[in-house]
Amino acid sequence: MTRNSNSLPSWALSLLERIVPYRNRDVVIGDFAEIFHYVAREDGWLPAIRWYLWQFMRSLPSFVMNGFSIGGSMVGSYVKVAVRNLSKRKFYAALNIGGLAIGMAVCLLILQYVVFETSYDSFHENADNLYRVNLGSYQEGELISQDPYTFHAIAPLILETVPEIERAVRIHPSYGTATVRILDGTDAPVSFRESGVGFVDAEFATMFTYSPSIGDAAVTLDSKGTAVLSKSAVRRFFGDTDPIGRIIDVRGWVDGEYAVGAVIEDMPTNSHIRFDIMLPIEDLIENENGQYAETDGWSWTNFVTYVQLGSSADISAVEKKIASVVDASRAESTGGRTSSASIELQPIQRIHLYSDTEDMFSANAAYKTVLFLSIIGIFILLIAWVNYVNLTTARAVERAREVGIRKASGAKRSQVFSQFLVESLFLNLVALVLAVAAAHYALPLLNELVGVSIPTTIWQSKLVWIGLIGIFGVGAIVASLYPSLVLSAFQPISVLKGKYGSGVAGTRLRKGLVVFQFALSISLISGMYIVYEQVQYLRGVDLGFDLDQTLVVQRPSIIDNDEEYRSNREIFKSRALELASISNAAMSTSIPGVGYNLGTIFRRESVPDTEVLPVNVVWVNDTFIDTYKFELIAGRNFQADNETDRELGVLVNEKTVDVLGYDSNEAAIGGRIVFGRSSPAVILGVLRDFSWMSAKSELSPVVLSYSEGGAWYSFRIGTQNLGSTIDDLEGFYSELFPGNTFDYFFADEHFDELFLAEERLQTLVSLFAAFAILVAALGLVGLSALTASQRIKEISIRKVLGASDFGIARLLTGHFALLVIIGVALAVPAVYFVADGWLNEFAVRISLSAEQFLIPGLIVLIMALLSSGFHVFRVAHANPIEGIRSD
Amino acid sequence: MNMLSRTEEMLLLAVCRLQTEAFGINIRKEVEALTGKRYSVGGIYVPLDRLVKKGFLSTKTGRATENRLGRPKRLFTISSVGLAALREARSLYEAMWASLPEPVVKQLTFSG
Repeated sequence: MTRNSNSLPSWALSLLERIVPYRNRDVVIGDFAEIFHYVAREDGWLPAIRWYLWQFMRSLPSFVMNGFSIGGSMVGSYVKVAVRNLSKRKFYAALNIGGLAIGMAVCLLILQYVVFETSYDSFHENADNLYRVNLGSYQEGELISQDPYTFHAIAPLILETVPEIERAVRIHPSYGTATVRILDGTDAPVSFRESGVGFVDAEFATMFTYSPSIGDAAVTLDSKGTAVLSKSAVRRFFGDTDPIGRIIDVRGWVDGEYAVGAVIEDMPTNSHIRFDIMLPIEDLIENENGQYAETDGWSWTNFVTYVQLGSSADISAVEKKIASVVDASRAESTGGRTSSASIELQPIQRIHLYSDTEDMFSANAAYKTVLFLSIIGIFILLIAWVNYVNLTTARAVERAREVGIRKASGAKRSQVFSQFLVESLFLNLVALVLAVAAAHYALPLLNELVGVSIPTTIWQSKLVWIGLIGIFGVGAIVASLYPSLVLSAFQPISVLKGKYGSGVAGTRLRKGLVVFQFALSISLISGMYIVYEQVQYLRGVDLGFDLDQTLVVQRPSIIDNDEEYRSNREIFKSRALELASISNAAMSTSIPGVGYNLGTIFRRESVPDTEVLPVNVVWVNDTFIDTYKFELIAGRNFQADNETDRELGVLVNEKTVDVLGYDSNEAAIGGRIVFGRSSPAVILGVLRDFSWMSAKSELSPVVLSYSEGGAWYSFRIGTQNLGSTIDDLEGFYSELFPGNTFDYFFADEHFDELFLAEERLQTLVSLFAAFAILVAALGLVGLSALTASQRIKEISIRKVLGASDFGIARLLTGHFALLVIIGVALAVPAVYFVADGWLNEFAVRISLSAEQFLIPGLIVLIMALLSSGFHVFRVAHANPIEGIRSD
Repeated sequence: MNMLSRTEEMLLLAVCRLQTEAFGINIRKEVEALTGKRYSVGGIYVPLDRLVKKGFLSTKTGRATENRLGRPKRLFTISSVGLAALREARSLYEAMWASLPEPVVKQLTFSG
């Protein structure tokens, strides 16, 4: 079966598959597909979609009748009446269906997102038995985090000693980018900067289920010097030519040439591991120029370990066994001086949602976003249902006569009740179809806003449809039940006499529901407002350094001769400084916003080595603090020509002085500290506290150590001739470092990406708040139109007696103000509770104030007045004679 | 006597006329061309199913094509019971229309 652009879209197909009764399913679907194909070919795709939607709705009665027609029930006739009623009242029908459809569509989109996020790594055949081995970190005897980064000696050790472990696989990601060059085929090698490079054990290919394309990945990874590529990497590197046997040159953690041995399909977007290039891990560990060459596997924690357990294994017992063999082996390696390890086995399917370190191996605790969006989705759906109930019951008066006649001609209440129920179901179904179509076409937008890549194949997921039927079922039944009960309850004699009963209870319920809608809208708007203010505030916090006009260039990755590189680096720096527009140049192994280079432990030399504290280290050169304008408040900067400075000197922040317990900044100068097990240093200067990774995180001790070069070249440049300055730099770069790509960015823009998560949240909340208000406004338009027309006689009499247009308008809309105030009162505690929790996760935060609730309240009030105002004024302005004469 | 309804008669005749091409889509088109009545894609099968249940039509599963996303067609053919019903309907019409008084025939031709 092939599919092309004229084929029925997948959502449309799935919809039919679920709704057409079994008896004719295949034939009817075939007919739909065939005609759709024909219309799409002749008239284009949009008319075909329109045709589909229209035919679908027209076919609904037959689907329903076919579904339960046995015994000659009235369902068909009910549907017919429903269709007539809706087409008689187009405005009302459009409001009602539109509101419901928007609510359902938003909810459906969020449902797809939730299903996608919770499906991570479930595609592996052994998904239920796969675990990641996490290592606990301790601070003062307390477990502070479970860290996925482990020693590379763990996997082989536990595979041998713990019987429950069937497989163990190590992974070493590239931590940043690697440069890949295609050596054969072309005269000048082409370079690519790749971030998805990973060194893996051969069993990676068998333990995880990634679909093979060409060749055997496990065999390929088992021998050194061969690589497995993903299909998209193959396309990038080689186009359509045969990749097998081609040579790629990878410059990254270690350098080497690899022959392509196998190709796999691109890893699914719901895989937490995303590699494009997989290389044998032995090439990394046993590489004699690499940093792991001379170690026994118990010093570096740059590896991630996964295990497959037997299905009956007791997890906590296995964790204890692993901890004990790891302890024994580490003690042997370090000569007995080690703390005991804490091991956690994290089920692979929980990694995506429940890890809290931010990188590929544990994408940032996404369950909070999932939870948050689910709540918003339910909110918006509730608002839509409330609209539905309100509009339907408000129309009860208009339908009263119909009910009266039906009952007078012998209909039982249960029959009238089922008539209205069927009508409701029908309306819900129409809204559902529109919602499914809308959600399908809005999916790419959601992907962009939330920064995920949900494939459209999500429609094939059973969960989405279960959720959909749930939404539909609950909505149709709950929202339909009450109006149907109200409508079927009319007494024929009184309604035919013209007495509808004032319906106080109904009005009160409607008001209550409107208050509820207001409260939800206000909550969403204040949420949006608070998120916005907090992000603005975080951005405005004094960072302790200055990123303006700072251009950052990545160092070359292809270096053939270390000495030559070092001298060219100095030439590059001095040439850059000769440019009139460049005032400072610095080199460092990291820059603000990118991260720290090393997380380790340290202490003052004078205290025992049991009292160690965590600290982060970055290596910088002597011009770094001037380039980034750090403020030196005590002591001095590095002196590049002083050997002691180069070997032992460090700059620290105030927080470091504080945690180490020095009396003052000045007292800390010259203080001797020890890193890790035995690496001494001397404090040269103290810097005013700075927020290296933005004001989102707490101030922590940071130490700047000396290094002449580094991965990043930073230049502070003037605002003039920016383009030509960059061109000049690029010219120097390609001359001095041939074969390397000149990659640069502005430090402030890069730093701003730290706020990506908050910005996304802000966009989402704003968008959903807008939807919530839209749906609520639709409801109010309908509701006020109906009440105004029902009170037409009263209004006419008032006018005859001398009431002004304005007075009438006030009469009809005045109660909205009260309802909004009640709405605010309900929203405040809920929003306060949620927002306070969210804000508390930031190191610095805004405080909540009254205006964050009053302004949203005001917005909702204005929205309410505007959406009800139009009809109210029309009624108020009308000639009173028309109203009184009406019967 | 169990008489055919107009709709039933029309559908049975459409099936007869289409012969080996009597699939749902074609029957729907035929009915529309003849009477202007537009069944929905799903709706056409409701009366057809009723005719099958009454034994007037029998069905066969037809070929699946790419444009139909691999779904089969359903071919309708008239059964002997259906033919008998049509025959009966026809003789009933002929009897009804036969031997009308001369002036009425004139009136009918004039206005028709």
